[in-house]
Order: sequence, then C-alpha cells, then structure tokens
Amino acid sequence: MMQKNRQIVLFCLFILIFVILSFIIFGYQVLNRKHYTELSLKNRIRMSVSTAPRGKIFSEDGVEIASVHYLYALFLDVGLVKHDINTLKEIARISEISVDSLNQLIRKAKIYGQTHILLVNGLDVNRLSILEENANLFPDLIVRRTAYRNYPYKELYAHPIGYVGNINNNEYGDLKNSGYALSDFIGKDGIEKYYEEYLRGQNGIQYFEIDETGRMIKEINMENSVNPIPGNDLYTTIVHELQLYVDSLLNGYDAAELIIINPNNGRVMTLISKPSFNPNIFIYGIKKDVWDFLKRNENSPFTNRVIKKGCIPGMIFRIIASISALNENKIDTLTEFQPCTGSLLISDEEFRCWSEHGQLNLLNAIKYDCIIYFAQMSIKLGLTDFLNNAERFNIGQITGIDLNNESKGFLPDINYFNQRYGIDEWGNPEIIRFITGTKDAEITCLQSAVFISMLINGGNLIKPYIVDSLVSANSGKLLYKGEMKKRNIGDINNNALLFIKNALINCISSETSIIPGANIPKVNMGGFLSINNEYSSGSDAALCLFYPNDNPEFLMILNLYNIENPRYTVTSTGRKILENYLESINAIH
Amino acid sequence: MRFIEKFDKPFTIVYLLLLILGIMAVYSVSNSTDITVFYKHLFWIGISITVFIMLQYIPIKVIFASSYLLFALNITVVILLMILQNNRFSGIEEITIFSKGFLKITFILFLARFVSNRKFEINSIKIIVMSIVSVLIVSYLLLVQYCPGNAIIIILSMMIILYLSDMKYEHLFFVISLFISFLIYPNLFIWIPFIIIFIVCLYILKANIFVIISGIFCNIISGLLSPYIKTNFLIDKIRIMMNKGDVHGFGWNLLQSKIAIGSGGFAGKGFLKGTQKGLDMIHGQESEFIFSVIGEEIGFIGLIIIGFLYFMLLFRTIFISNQIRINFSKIIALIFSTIIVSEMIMNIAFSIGLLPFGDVLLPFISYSGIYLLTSSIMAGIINRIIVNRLDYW
Repeated sequence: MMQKNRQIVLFCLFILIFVILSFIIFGYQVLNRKHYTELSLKNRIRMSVSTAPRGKIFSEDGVEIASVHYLYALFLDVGLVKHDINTLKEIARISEISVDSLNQLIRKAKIYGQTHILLVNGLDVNRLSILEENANLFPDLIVRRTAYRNYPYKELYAHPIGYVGNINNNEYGDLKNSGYALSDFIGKDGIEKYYEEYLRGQNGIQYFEIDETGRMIKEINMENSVNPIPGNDLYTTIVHELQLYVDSLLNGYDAAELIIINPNNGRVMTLISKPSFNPNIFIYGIKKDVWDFLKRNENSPFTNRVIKKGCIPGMIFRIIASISALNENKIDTLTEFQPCTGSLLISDEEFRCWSEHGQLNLLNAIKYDCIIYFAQMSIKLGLTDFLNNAERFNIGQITGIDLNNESKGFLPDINYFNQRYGIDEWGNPEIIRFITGTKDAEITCLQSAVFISMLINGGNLIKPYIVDSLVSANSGKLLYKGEMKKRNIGDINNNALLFIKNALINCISSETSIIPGANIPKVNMGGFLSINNEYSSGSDAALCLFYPNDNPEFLMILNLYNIENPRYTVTSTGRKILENYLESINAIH
Repeated sequence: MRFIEKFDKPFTIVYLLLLILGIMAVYSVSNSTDITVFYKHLFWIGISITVFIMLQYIPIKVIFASSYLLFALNITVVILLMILQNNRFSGIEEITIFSKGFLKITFILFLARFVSNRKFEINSIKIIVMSIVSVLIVSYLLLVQYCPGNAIIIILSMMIILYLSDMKYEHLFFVISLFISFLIYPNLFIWIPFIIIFIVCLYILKANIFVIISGIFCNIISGLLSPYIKTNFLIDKIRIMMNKGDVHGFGWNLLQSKIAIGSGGFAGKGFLKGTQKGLDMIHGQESEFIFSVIGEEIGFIGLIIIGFLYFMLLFRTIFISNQIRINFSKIIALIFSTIIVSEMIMNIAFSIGLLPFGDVLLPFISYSGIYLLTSSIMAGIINRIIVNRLDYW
C-alpha cells in the first residue's frame, strides 16, 4: 500500500537539502577559508599591553626612595563592553566612577584606538573578591597585576622626586607615538618628569589565550610578544639620613624651604619644601576633602618652593651690592658713611635699622646687617651698576638644575621702575629698597645657594644637579652621569669676593656676632641671617651656613616663614642641621 | 539464527563507523579540555551497543503491542516531572532528560501503530485530528522544556509518517498549513497571501469543498491562537534557551563554531590539531557543536564522510523497505532513519547558524548519554526490522 515513489521523493528531498547545506559549508571551508583562518588566529588570542615597571630611585646612600610594587588594577576591555545602560551602570558602580565619565573614557579610548581602559588602580581586597566571584558576569572587566610606583617615604621626597600620575589628554596627544598607552603613568614633576624617558621603561606586549567568555586564561608566547623592559635605576645626590633629619626638624613650620648643596660641584644633598604632600595620592586616588585641603592651602604644598617660589632677596642683594661697590671701586673695604642712629632720612623717607650701630665699615655692616650703611652704599653704587653685576651673577636666570619648571626669580630693569612708579617719579628710596633686597625683586632659594656658592668657591658659577647617575636595570650599564658644570664669573675683583667671604665667616664666628646661636665651637664656618618683618607677629627668616671656610663642601640655605622669635628659631635649627652633617662625616664627636 | 546473522552487515557497519567517528571527535575535544568526558562517552557507547544488541532479541510484536502503553507512560512521566520540577524538587533532572529523550521514540511508535491500524482509513478525519492533537501535546511539552529542535523533529516525523502512509496531498497540505499559519500569523502581509495560495492549491488538488472550508477555518483558528501561545511563554523560553550559558552566549559560540569550521578548509587541520577546541573556545563543543570539531580537523571531507554514512543508513532502509511485510515495521524503519538524517542536517545547519535549535545533536557522534542511547535504540529497531523484513507477525 505504501508507494515506493514517495520514499524516493523523500530520499531525494533529503539529498537535496544536504547538497545545499554542503554548498554553504563549501563556501565557508574552501572559498572563505583564509578569512576564517585569520579570524581563528586572531580570536583565540588577545593582545594586551603590560605596563613596564618604572625605574627605581635611590638616595646617595643607597636607600630606595621611590620603589615599584605590584598591585591589581581593574581594566575595561573596550572591545567587549556592551553598550547597554545596565552594563555600564554596573561597571560604573564597581569602579566607583560615574556613568558619564565612563562613557567619556570609552569614547576617548575609541578615538585613540586603545583596547583597554584603566578603571581602578590598586584594587582593594573587597572589590577584588567581588570581581573574582562574579567573573562570568563581567567578561569585559579585566583584573591585571600591574607594576605601580610607590613612594615609601611619602611626603619626604615629594618635591625632589616629584610624582607620577595618569597620562592626561594633552600629554597623550603629544606622546602617543612614543609608545604610551592611555592607562600609563607619566612623571608629572621633579625627577620623575625630568628623567621620564629614562625612568619609564618600555611597555611590553603580551598575548593571552581567551576562553569563550572572553576572559584571559593564560599568557602565550608569540613571535612579536615583548616582555616589558623595566625603567632604568636612578641614583640621586640626596643624602637620605640628612634629608630625614632635616625633615623632622622642619615638620612644625607653616612653610619652609631648605637646600643643602656642595658649593664646589653643585651636588644637591638635601632639598626640602614645606608644606609637602603624599605623592602616592596621584596613583591610588585621594579623598575629596583631603584634596580640597591641599588645594586650598595658601602655601601651595604641590609647589617645590626651593626652585619655584621667589622670595625677597634680603641679605643676598646686600652682599651683591657690596661686591659690586667694591668691584666698581665705588667704595673700599674701609669706607665709612654716616653713622647708624637707628634711622636715616633719605629724600624725605625714613629708613629704619633694627638697632643703633654707630660708625661702621663694610665688614661690620655685613656682620651687623646694618640697613643704614647699605642704604647709603646703594645710593653711591647706583642702580645700573648693581643690575649689571647682579646679571653677571646669574640673578634673574635659572640655575639649570635638573628639575622641571624652575623659576627665574625676578630681577627688574630700569623700564620696570619707570612703569611701576612712573618715569622720573622714582629715586633714591626706591633704589635703596630694591638694592637692600626688601622690594621689587624675587630670588629663589636655589638661586641664593648658587650665588653664595660662587662667592665662597672662588668665583665659579656652578650648575646644581640632583641626579648622580642612571644605571640600566638590565645590563647594569652606566647611562648617564651627573657631573660638575661651572663657569668662572670672569673679570671680578677676587679680593672683593674674598673680603665678603671673610665678612660672612666673621658674621658667625666673631665674638660680637649677632647670631651666636648659629656658631658651633671649633668649627670653621660662615654664613648670615636675614630677617624680614622682624618685629611683626610672624616674620620670615633666611639663614645661610657654610662649612668649612677653606674649600667649602657644605652650603645650606634655610628659609622659614611666619615664625616667632626668628633669630633663635632659625639659627638653632640651622646649627642642628650642620651638627648632624658634621657628625655624619665624623668631623666632630 | 546465529548471533552474527542477527545484524544487517551494511547497516551495522555504518552504525559502528559513526560511533567510531564520535569516539574520535569526543576524544579530540576532551583530550585538550577534560578527558573524563571521553571516558563517560566510552561508557555510554558501551551501554548503547549493549542496548542495540539486546533489541535484536525483542520481537517486533512486543514493541508494537507495548507502543500505546509506552507512549502513555512516557507522557505521564514527563508531565509529572514537569510539575515536580516547577515545585523545585531536586535530583530529578536526570530522569527528566531521559524521559524527554525517549518521548521522540515512544511518540513515533505510537503514531506508527495508530496510522498502520487497518481499521482506520489514512485519509480519515480521525487520523488527522489524532495526529495533530498528539503532536501538539508532545511538541508543547518539549518546547516548554527548552527543546524546540526536538519539537520540530516531532512535527517533522508526524508529517513524514502521514506522507509515507499515502495520505492524500490535500490532507497533508491541510495539516502542514496549520503549522505554517501558527508560525507566520501576526504578519498579515505574509499570512493573507498564504491563505489565498492555500485555497488555490487545494482547488488545484481537487479537494472537496468541505476540506477547503474547514482548512480555512482551522488556519484562522491556528493563526489567532498563535500570538497567545507564542508571546506568553514560548518565545521567551526559546530566547532563554538560545542565550543560555554565558553572557556572550549563543552568538559567541556560533561565531567561534563558524570560525572553527571555516578555518578547517577542505582537508582540515588534522586529527587533534584543531586550535579552537584546544583553547576551549566553544561551550558544548563535545555535544551540540561537535560538528565544528569535525569541520575543523577533517575539513570539508569530514562533511562528505558524515553525509555519506548517514545517507547510507537511510538508503539501506529505503532500499529494502518494500520487502518489509509488516506495515508498522516499515513505517518505523523509514521514520527512524529519516529522523536520524534530519537530526544530522539540523545539527550541521545549527553549527553554522542556519538554525537556532541547539538541542538537536549529531546522532551517534555527539557526547550525550541519553542522545546516544535513543539514537542506538532507533538504530537497533531498524536493524531488527531489516533483518526480519521477510517475517510476518
């Protein structure tokens, strides 16, 4: 009863369907084989940029002051992320950023053709465990062990070393051809910025096998996989013990600057700027209130005051004026002016001295820091001669230290006075105020140090440096060696320099010194103290100390701001620092 | 009869060859992922071959006699388990999978016995109604339990049974049209022309006016009912089924499967040399996506070999079907072999994304204990029928 032809029709129908299917598969397997082979190669592996650990930074005495440690970071795979709002919300919740900024990040990554976005640096254990437990829910989130910069001494080295932070749009735009990724860190200030190209190392390219959820299973070796090359190790000239000690002394002050330098070769031994900040905040994020506090602080914690903050020159200018006057033969070492009676009327303006010094010569004027003497000398010297000499001493120019954004300070010219006070409307009082270093000029702590170095090392302008050497992390090869660079100041009267140097020695070690607190018995040392607003409630003081007198190797410039009883505070602090240094080199016991 | 004579040589050899191909494919997958899968597969192959042999000792008459009972029992168990499952009873999943798997076989036995009953005329309204009702029940049960592919197999097998039982074309067309209406109803631009074509076809086929009118009526009912059934749960369930597993789900697996097959080329990458499976790219590569392994490792040649082997089974059955004396046996043998071939086609079409039903596996090859067992039962019964084709009751 069953018809044979129906069976044959059915059989043929199945054959036909199978033949059609075969043609389709033939298309896949034979005609499009190349395409699918490429896809199969591409699909099972995923490229990932692995961040190179930055080079370590050491102090002169071998202490690791900027290290590298490994933490887990959360990345978002831009290629895998689904663009529905719920997914984005969920990712935003986990990474604790807003959906808007997440969208912005994704857009930015797409514009720059980046595959991964860094969402969270240094994942805490809680979030790490949440992510691990729900790994299959978030295939687009990748937890990766990443090398991070770490500053073990936090605030202590924030200014000399600087800090690293996430690369921003402008930086990335400039540097994307140099192998930077959007998730990279880049030196933002200090040594980290200046020596960025040496410290950063080279990012590696790793290939990972991925499973059907898109999660990386394990690393595989490919022809073009590159291991990250760590950055080079950097040795600074900073002496850790000294830096640590000085920091502990300066901790209580509102604002302070200190630099200790070797005046013969320009090696920076200590560099401290207060207030400071913890540079790790730029890596792991910061609470908003802490950030606001730091931003609102009028003493600008983020600024390296030693090289960026100009302050009233004070005694430095009076010394420059003295040298200039001697050099230009306007005065000699024995020249005397009207005696100091505590005040003097010049062009209807009264200039006050901090004491009544009587008849003085230059040596004593420097020792007693007598404004009346310097005021009369300023008039004799004149503005032009002063400016010429100041320029010769590199005042108003950068010193060339290997740190970024060094300030030039401020050295005006005649035009400035004309603009500020009006043409022909300024005269001796303005000149006096300027030359005695109380107005219209600014000088950085570092510039002071370089100038005093020139004075005490026999007329050589040094270029200070803070990096001793750079050593390749792989081969141990020396890549860079910081070296002494100095130029002689030229046609200056050497006797004048010597005389002023002796005056500064006299300042400290004379029996009639006005700052006996700074003196260490039996130690050949010199220096000066310069105080601004001494009798107001908070005054600023600058102390300079150098040691030893012949061929000095230690020069300290210490500026303290808004302090009470400056004469005692600053001198005792300065002496303690020098004592500590002398102990460390076994000069005293 | 000697033991060896109980087996039809061409059929049994093809059956064993397919099993060997399956062993190789499953080994290839599990070798690089989880070798225990391979051992489990071997265990199920052992059980399947045992069942295949045991079936040679069971008379067709016993199968015939027990077919209604088996079907009733199976349906009851499936429904019972469904209720239990809804009440969150645990530990019954295995039984559920088994009962679902056997539903296909018991349904075909039931329908074959029903249509081969000489008391009924094949074109009678009773046969048509009974077929449709039973198919609807079974396919509904399968759909609800995430087996849309098997539901389609059930519908297909019913149509093939009716077709091979010499049902008139107009009646056959009538039955098929109901399912088409069900599928396309909400889209009136397709549904209305379809109804017009349906009427024209019936007219050309010289169907009587009663068939035409009842056909239109039934099609409208089928169409109108479809949105309620489809929107309420079926669509959702099918969608869930298709997205089961990971978040990348079906799309990801399908892409990877296509890549695996496409990268295989004409001759394949070589046995055990497939790269996609080595990376554990495809979820379910030892079961529903097994063809991607074959396609990748043996290439287009693999497809030709597979096609050849399955069509050999069908050809062997069709070749001797006219010699089969018992009508019931004849229907069973033909249906079982066409079902095996259609499962093969559906699975391969699924592997390259032409069909969305991942619950239909490659018979004899895929790793899945129950699937291997049901396929072997079908093969065993076919072999039994072929060997005893000249016997009467």
